[in-house]
Amino acid sequence: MPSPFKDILQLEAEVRIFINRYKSTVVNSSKRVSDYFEMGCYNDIVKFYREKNYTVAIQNLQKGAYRYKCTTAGLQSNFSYFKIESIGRAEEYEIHHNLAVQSSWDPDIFTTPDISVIKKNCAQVTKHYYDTGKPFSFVANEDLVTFCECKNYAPYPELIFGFVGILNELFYSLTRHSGVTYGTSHIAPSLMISGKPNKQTLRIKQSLENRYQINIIFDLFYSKRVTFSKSRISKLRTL
Amino acid sequence: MAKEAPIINALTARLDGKLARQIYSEYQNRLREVTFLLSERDVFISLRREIRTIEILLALSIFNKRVIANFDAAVKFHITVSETGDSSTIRMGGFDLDDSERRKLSSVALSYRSLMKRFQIPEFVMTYETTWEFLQKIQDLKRGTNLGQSESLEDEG
Repeated sequence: MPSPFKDILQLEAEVRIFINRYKSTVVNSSKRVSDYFEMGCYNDIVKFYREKNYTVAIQNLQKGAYRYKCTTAGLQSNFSYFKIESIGRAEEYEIHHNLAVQSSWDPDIFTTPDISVIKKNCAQVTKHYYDTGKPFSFVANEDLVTFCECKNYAPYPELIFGFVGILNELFYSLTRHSGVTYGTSHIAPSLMISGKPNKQTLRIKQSLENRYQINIIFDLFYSKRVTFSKSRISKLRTL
Repeated sequence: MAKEAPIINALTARLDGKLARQIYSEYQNRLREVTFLLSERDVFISLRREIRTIEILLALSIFNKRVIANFDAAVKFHITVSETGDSSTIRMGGFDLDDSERRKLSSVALSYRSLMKRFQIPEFVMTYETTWEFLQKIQDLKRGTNLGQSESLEDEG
């Protein structure tokens, strides 16, 4: 087999062939890579529930297609989502993407986590959010089950502490929760970051996970095959 | 014959501006660190003559992280939707990620992995936090001390 050291000219030539052969696909898809990243995280959460013995079904196909909500704008009823049902417990929930969630402190303020698990049929619409009376989709705080944030960055302290701000806003009760549980039904609020941590961000993860019932998952591209594998899913904190 | 553009330029040519800037900027920053570490740290003395290999692997590792990994994510989500529902199309605004698009993304990722495997470059070399760690992995690769990792590359197919 060729070596990247001894056969450098051959490696370079083959990399150029690879680039030229797939240039048009890569260029055409390059505007969507951040959406693809979030899709990967969304997929992991669906996988989590599957591994937890939930049946998974797609709801609200639009003209035969799964309509993916790429931004926070738009009515939730126009987009598809996953319905999950616990086998044997008759519990049903929905996994949404980019759905606004009401604050646990103030009913008039909202923030939009990337992924939210909510009680079934609880997405609502209000015309009081925008000055124009335009409809706005959201879920009431008491109907939120859990949420995840996805960040396609290298981890840094402010990014991680920002997640605690969202936790405080959406799940104040969890910021006062000192116990740690594993193996129950729902994934604890999770921050999913693509980059690898350094010593400092690992320390922050350990400290925050000691204080709050949350998961901070780093190095997603490399570790998620492990983190969300059948054997390791039980290591994730749950609610 | 005209000199060919550096690999990083070829990889980023015509990509979406934001993505191209992210890749190019990370590459340049890392390359500056590589240059410094190779010249100032004797621990990497064995790599001083391998700068061309390092440049290519650095460019590919960043491309892997920012492009290939996301293509893989889209493919997996498409598989989930196709297997779970009655649809094999994911509509994203005006774009449809359908079977044909999924095949295109898969082809890029498979071809990339096949290239890596052909040149015996294990996936672990492509993930690192610091440039120091990257150079250590390149050094291990060169020394052939990563036997366990090479075996796992075989397993990954």
